[in-house]
Amino acid sequence: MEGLLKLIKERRSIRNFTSKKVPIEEIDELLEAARLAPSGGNVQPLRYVIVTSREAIEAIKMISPGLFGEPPAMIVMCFNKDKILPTSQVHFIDLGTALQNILLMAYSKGLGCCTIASFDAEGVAELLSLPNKIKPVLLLVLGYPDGHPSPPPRLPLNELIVGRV
Amino acid sequence: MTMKEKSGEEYLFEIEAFLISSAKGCLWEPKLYGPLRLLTAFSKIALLPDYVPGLKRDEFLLNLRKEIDEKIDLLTADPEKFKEFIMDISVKFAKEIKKRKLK
Repeated sequence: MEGLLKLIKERRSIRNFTSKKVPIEEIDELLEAARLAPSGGNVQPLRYVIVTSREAIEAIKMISPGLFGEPPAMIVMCFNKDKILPTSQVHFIDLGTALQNILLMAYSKGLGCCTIASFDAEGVAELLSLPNKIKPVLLLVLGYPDGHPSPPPRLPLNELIVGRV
Repeated sequence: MTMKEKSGEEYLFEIEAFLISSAKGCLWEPKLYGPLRLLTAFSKIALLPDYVPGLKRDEFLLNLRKEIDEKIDLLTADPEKFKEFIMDISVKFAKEIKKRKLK
């Protein structure tokens, strides 16, 4: 348990990477961790595109204002639109739980990640020739960290707990 | 493809793609992302001379670019300091305009 808390405390968003390539097996293991995350109603609405081609990453970068640096790999996290209810937000909870599994698994393996929400989702779908039902929702850049950023300020716990009943 | 391998046309196209996707994001992203995108665009444009023969490198712009790249994470770490930084560099830029234009 202490080991898990240590991972949670030490993990950072990494935007600067070394040029070392990420073995595809490592990326598959991250996605295995995502696969095992909880899913509301066990609907499992998430789908993934693994991008390691330099040309594809450069093309995605061109329409992703939030993406800095030169990541050697990227996971495009997507929703399968056939699996989500437009009236529900539960698929976003699934996204968060799967994402955190990936982030912690990556950090435990010495990999760094950063989630990118500022990108042109329709443009990325076009670049990757995704079928209409697959909608990109987050970019996750990954690679071997070049540096370890300082932690950003967090609110103290007593400000977050608004009631004890 | 490394940056140095790009032609001027390719680099310009890249900046234009960045501007269009930024415009789209600004429709719903947090307000402070607007200035962030403009600063990032500044950083990209400051490097144009590396790709366009005949354009001279401008040390003032390159230094400002370096400063922006170093401070860009302030937005998430400390939005108030990010705003102060923008105020500071706008004064710095005004001083440079004065030096160049109002001798």
